[in-house]
Amino acid sequence: MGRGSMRLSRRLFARTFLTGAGCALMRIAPTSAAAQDTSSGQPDLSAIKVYLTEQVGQLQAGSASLADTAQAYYDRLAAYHFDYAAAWAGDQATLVSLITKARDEWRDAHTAYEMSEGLVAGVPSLAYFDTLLDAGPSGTEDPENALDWKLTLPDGQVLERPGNIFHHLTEPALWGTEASFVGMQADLDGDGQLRVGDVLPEANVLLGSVKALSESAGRLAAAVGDWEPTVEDAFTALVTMLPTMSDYFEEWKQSVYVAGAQATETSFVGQSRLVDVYGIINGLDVTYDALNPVVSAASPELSQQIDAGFARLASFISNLLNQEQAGKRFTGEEADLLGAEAQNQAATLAGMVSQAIALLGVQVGS
Amino acid sequence: MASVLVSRCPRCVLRLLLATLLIALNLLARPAVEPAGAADALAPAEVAEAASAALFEAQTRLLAGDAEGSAAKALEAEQVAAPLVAAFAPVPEDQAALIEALAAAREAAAREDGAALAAARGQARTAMLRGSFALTLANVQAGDARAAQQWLLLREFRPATRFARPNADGTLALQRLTTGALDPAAAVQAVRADLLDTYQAKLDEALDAISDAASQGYALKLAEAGALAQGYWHILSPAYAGQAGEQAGASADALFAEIARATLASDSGRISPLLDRARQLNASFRAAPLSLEEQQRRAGQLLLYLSLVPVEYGRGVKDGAVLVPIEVQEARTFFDGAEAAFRDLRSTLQSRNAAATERVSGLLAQLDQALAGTQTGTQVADPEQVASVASETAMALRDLFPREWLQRSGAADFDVIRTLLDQMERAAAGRQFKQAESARLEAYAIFDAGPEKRLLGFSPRLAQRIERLFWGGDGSYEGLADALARGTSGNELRKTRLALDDALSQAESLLGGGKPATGAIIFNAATIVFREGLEAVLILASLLASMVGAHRHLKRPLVFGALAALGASGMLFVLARSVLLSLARYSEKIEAVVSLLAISVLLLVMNWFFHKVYWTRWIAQHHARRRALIGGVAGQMLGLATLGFTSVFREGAETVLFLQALVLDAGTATVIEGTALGLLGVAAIGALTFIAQAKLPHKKMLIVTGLLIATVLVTMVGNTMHALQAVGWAPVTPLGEIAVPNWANVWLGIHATWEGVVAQVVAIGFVLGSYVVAEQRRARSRQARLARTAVAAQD
Repeated sequence: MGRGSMRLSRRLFARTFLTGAGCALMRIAPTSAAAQDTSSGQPDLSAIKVYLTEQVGQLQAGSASLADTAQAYYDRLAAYHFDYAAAWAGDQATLVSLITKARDEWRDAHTAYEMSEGLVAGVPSLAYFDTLLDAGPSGTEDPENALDWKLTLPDGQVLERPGNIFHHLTEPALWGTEASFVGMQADLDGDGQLRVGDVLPEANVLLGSVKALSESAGRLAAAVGDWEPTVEDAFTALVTMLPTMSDYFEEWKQSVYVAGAQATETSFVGQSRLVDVYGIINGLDVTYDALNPVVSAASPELSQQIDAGFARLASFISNLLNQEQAGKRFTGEEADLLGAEAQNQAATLAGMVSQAIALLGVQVGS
Repeated sequence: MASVLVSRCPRCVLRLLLATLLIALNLLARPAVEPAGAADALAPAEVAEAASAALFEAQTRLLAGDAEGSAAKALEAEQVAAPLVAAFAPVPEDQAALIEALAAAREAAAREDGAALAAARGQARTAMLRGSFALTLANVQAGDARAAQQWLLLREFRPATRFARPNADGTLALQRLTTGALDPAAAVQAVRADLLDTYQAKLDEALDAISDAASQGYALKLAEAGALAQGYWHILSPAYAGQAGEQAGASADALFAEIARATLASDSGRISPLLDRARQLNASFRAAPLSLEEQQRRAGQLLLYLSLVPVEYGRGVKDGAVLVPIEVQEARTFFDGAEAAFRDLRSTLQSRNAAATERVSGLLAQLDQALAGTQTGTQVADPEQVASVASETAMALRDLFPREWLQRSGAADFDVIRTLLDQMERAAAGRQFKQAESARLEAYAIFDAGPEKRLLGFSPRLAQRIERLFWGGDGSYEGLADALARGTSGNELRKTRLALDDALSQAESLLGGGKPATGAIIFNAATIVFREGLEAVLILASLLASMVGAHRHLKRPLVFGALAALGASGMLFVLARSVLLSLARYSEKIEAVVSLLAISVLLLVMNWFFHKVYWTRWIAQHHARRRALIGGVAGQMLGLATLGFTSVFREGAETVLFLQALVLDAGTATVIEGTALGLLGVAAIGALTFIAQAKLPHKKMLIVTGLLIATVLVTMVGNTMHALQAVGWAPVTPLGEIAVPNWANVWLGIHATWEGVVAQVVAIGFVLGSYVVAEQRRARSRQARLARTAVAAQD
């Protein structure tokens, strides 16, 4: 076990004991939480709800902090009557600090969402929030599939069908990958060059979109509170989300994390797409843990194979993420090869889960 | 960041280490050769995964420039796979292929040849799949379900689509083999079909991957995809040779060998024409031919999905502009469903009539292009053009399909209903309730026009439960119509959907339990005609019996109206099913409107009756009132004709829809036999009523007639309220725990809602009220007469 793993274990130890019966504990000993509820004969799926509630709670907390920071940034600019050059000249250190803080908070909120995405996007009654928060295209990009909603900014400007809040609004606003969301180019890191991310976000768009994020996170938390997981929902999430790996890897391949300056993907600048993939697999793994006793009763071998498949896929993705965050830049061909392998593993897992569904006779939506 | 993420999944790492350790221990403890059947201890799928993972690691290490690490991993793969190689002893050809592929990988890694390593990995993977395929079937044949189950875990799966998840026929067949519910021969057939179907789809996927890799210039992916294509073909090859002959088989084998060579050499000039030939070849046959039942199901899906494309498209596009994008998207969804079904049937159709199949393929391509143009905004196709192409395609398909495919089992209806309900949920989740309601109505229309009619013959209770779940709710489940009207999209909607899925599955299993016997169909048709015809005939017979003497001329408009309705019902019967389907969507509303009209006319007639019975000189004394009620002589004629028409047509139209569903099951002749029988029963009841009433004294006859019509009125009011509630025109307040027996529901129109019961009570009140008013007026009239007589006597 390397140093990294030792560090992970210490974090895990601290987290487990600090948060009591938190999520981390469930991940280590899933079978204790996922035991069969002997009174009703139904599997105990409460672990899924506990996990989702915790992740969505973190999303809510993260987006609320982000909203506070965006408000402070907005107020700072307002003091200069939104004259970005004057604000940059007079208050550079504060602005850099606020933007850095906002980006960190965005990453926290986004990570929390990604950890829950496998379930939010896979459960039919919650899937709307995935389109709104993380996956929906804008009306300009894809008029057919764009979600019909509008964002009213603090100055009264209305953005019609603007797309999802994370990748079409807040991320482009914070990192300046959408020109109309940029207040001014500014050398934030002071390296003498203007690179991707060296911008002062347009305060009006930033505040409006971050508030929408915070408000939507609250609504999602309420929806999750109302939701009672069912075996059908849990299996639906698995079979819906597992086959989506290839799309995510394609986006990763096109993003700045792989393609660098030649990137055609304007999203996934603040965080790599691999974070999404990892989060989805993690959420689905938690879901399967809860279902494991039922599948195991029908076919122990199949259950064991699905369990091992999840372990293999999660390990595969986390290994890639670790490498990327340690500074490795994958080539397009490597990314393609890795994506194809992940997709193969996910497709096999989805196939095995489908066998379990058939053996159990569970009704699953699409 | 990564460390934070990985900290959330330390278990994954632990499990992986544990799995590796177990495999290593397994290798150490295992004798060199295992019997093929002893797969329990071997866990072939896990060994294969571990070997594949090691080969992949060898590939990525070589790509990263770590040649030494790559060679070590390739060697590890060979060692890890050793138990599998040994277990392949009963299938020497596959064993040799696996040994060769693993050695080729080791050598390629040693000489740092990335493309050869990728190709070897593809060869090793497919050699494992082929060996596992053979051993699974061998164990099934030998009746060793347990060993077969272990081998079957080493397999791949058909890629999931929006319309289909990987099927589980093989897994389920082995489960049934274990319990003795299936014999080995049938299990072999099911497992074989499942796996061949899967690998044929995987071959398509590999050919697409070759195309992608060639265009991107990725040599490794190209080499691996080429080897995979050849490997999948080896699995399919015997089936192809069995269908097309040994010579064609050898030629196809050569083609795929050539592809593997060309892709390994990254010879892009040769790849493209070879790919075209391979794609054509793969589309020209079906390794696991569909059973007749599956063909019928696909054929049904194809026609149904195709009929829905113009419906959705027409709602989304108007005057050259896309008004409701989600409707166009739904049209695309249905088109994709139709196309998927056509793909599955294509090779069979091709062998029936290649030219006609090509024509259908061309028409589908036109439709695809039209939808794509609208979706991308390059050119918005005219809805009429889309409808015309869809209709032409459907006609061409009907001509092309073998006759037995059109006598389908109805399973396709359930597939399409589920697709529509999925759409409903998606739209509701997106807060697009209008679209959600539209999808719900469409799903209901298909249920109403098809399965429900048949289900009523098998389990009326289940049919009613499904009906309630679609509309006003059942027990603790809120109806979908109500839930959508309230803007529900979360758990409540899901809860009802799951209950509905469950009920639909029960219905599917009930209806799919075999083709109903001809006798049962005749009985069902006769019962439907008798039940639906009874109300109409009671009204008609009663009225006709009352029209004697001076009123004989009133018979004519009534009979004309009834005959016209019979004619209209007959016309409905001969209309195409697609037209019926489009009407079925509105059938509840049509029923509600026609029923309201029928009740209005009936109320007038009721009034007329009571006046006639109790007012002996009604024509002379109340001419003005009658004129007001039915508008003079012309109005009287029109009123009676309308009564005749509505009484018969409201039942006739519904009966036709019911009978159409039976026609699909058993053919027109059988249904006509049942219809004739039902009509005979109706005619007998009509004649009996007529004769009985004709023999009664005139006044008694009128009383009996009045009572009969009152009963029909109360039933009609109950059913009409139910129809109004179904279309959302009246509120629904359940009676609570009070259960209404099925017979009361069917024969007396009593439904378990307060509105229905109150309406029926009001109807009874109206009848009694009419009686009381008539009595009072008669008494007053008598008193007046007596008074006049007394005055005259005094005078």
